[in-house]
Amino acid sequence: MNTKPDDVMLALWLDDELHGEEFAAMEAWAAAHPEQLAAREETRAYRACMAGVMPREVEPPYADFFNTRIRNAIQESRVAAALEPAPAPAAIIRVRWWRSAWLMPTAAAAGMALAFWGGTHVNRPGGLISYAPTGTPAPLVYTPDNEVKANYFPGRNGSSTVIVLDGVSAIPDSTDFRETAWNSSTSEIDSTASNEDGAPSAN
Amino acid sequence: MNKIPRPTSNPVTGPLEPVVPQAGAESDDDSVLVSRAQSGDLRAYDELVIRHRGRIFAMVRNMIHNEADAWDLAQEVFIKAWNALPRFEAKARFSTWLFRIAHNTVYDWTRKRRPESAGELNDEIFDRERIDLSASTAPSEAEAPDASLQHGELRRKIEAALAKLSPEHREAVILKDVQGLSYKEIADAMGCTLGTVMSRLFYARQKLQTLLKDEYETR
Repeated sequence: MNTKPDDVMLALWLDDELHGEEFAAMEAWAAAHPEQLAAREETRAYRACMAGVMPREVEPPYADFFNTRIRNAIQESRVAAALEPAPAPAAIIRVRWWRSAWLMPTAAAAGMALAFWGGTHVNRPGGLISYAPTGTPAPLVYTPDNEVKANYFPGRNGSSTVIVLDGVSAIPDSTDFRETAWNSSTSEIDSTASNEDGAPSAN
Repeated sequence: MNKIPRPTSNPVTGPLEPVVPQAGAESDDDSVLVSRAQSGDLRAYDELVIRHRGRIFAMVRNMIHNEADAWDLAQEVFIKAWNALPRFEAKARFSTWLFRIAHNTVYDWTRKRRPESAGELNDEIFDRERIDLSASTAPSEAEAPDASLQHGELRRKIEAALAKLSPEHREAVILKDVQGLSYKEIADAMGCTLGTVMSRLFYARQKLQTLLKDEYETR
């Protein structure tokens, strides 16, 4: 290559992205241009420095939980998709139907009749149908220690939740809980404490 | 009614066969896992996540400089990728395609970033200095502790310099000089022309060199 290569070719060569004939041609040209060879060495040194200092891969913290959350989100989206009503075919045609002159009065009359019927039936005992939420995914319970298993038990009425941890190490008797849970303020306790006769203490 | 039909998301089926996880494995045989995942095999997709989560997390973290948000966003990348997987064609490498999704996710997040994170996790949780390294659940990093000490200061300087670049310049440097993507792959990931990538990289490197001038001169 006798003529100066274009900028694209030069940039690719400086970053070692050329192969085959293009690479050979650029090498032949660069042999007569030591400043370009020096520039390539500088680029190589810079790239090596960056690659050595900045990690290409960093495992996300709590990597197993990272994957679990993704799996859970995918499962939830599947449940949501299953609950979604099927898309109506030829929706545009139906819209035109709906807007047609004879259908709108008919639909309005039917709606009024339905509202009247609903009004006469709504107070009947047992006449209402309750729709319990369905397809709600169980909450994600995560234990950072693989040895510990967590089991989730929802209450029947949805007001209670029990999580049972299996495999937690026994807490030694020597553990001083005051170091981890200590309420330094006693004023609130004092103010609500009562005397033996049940009367509030005079503080 | 002007309802746009939803793109077909990936169905989930049961596992076909167990997959042995290989963190950090090269992506040459991604195609097998990708085609299995495209047919709804969640375990195959889980393996793809294990393979690529380190690079995606590193890229996002370098872009936004916030570990907790990067943790959430990297997951979002993989969730979006799952939903878009039926449309993935093997014209590009799976990793390049993931970088493209990561690019969009980061830019979307940057555009609508709230002044205060309302996420359930905060940075304190991820402060590595607060984590007992001997704990069975301590996060792992590819770098050895001694190398980490050696490079720690320089890395902080480079990260600080990267933070001063524009997002486009920063991403070009991260994808090229940290992730090792080719110009063509960067153009695909960033959705721009080859010439734009070259221009961004040229000016980004120049600015980095200026910002790290002291570092260059002492070396």
